[in-house]
Amino acid sequence: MKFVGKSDEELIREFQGGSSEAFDEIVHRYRNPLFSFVYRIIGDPAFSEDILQETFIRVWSNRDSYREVAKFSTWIYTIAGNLAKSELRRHKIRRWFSLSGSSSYDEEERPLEIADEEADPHRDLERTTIKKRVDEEIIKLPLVFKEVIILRDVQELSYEEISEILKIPLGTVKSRVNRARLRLQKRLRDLL
Amino acid sequence: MSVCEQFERDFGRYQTGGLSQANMAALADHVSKCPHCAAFTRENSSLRNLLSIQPTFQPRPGFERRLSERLRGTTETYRVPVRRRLSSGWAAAGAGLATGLAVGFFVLLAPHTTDNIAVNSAPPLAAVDLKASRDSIESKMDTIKALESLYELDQNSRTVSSGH
Repeated sequence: MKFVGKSDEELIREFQGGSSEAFDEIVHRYRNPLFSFVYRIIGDPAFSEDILQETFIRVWSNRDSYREVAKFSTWIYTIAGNLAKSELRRHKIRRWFSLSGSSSYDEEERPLEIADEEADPHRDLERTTIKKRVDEEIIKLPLVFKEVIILRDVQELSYEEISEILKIPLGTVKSRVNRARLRLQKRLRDLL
Repeated sequence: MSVCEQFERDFGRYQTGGLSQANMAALADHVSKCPHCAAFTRENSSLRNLLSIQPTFQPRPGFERRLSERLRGTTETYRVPVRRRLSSGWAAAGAGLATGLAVGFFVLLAPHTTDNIAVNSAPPLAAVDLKASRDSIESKMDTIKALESLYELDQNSRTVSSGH
């Protein structure tokens, strides 16, 4: 309750001032959104958790290098995104998710979802199947489309923030988002 | 290019208001009369709704504890699935060689430190305490050099005793 209403920038300021509780709150706020982001880039929950841990370790270790010229969310998403892309390049994981038509999901590998408070057991199975299918198609997208569609349409960040995170022009962000949507629209037409 | 193809090509800018007023009006008029483009617009809207309700995932329970332990500089890490460990033959070979050298050191010279081996099951992703890690590595290098010296002494003694 201590940090309710405090902005991320206020939290990082307190953390820079020595408050480990402020860091705990940062972890609490960003744990799931960042994990979701990284998991949809990488497609592997084990790698994704490693990257998530490394992201927070870097926030901890480099807290004094953060300056409020950019939003804190931009900073932490940039760290996580760069780590995810490095991991992809290093292990060529994307080859595991080529457009072969086979499912990239193994039941045991799909991470936990945040529980839906309005869950209806009669419609859960259909919804789960649809969501899995959408995620499968997102993971199959080329990286340049995948990262923008996740940040824009799933995580609902602004075009401007995405431009800062990915270090690409605003126009390029909008163009890639549109092209990503068109690709997904074609592949998921039967669901729409 | 047909009007429908042009509509699909410009749809992104049409949505975000990136076209001239005249073009916006022309495309809006087309959508109102073209079933194909009207369906395309509905599909796109449906897709965006689907994407906005995609689930938020979470890491395995105990994430904060594992993070806290790494921040404190312990060696316990998230256990890597078997498939990942075997995905790189070179990494496996290198790990095997390092393990063999470490085991050799402890067996020959420091049997009372074998308790430490079981804890170091996998190298940490990031070393928080760099100085301690560096000291540890230098200590192991000294040990490896000591082993090499022992090997050479042993070989020399065999050479002398065999008369070669």
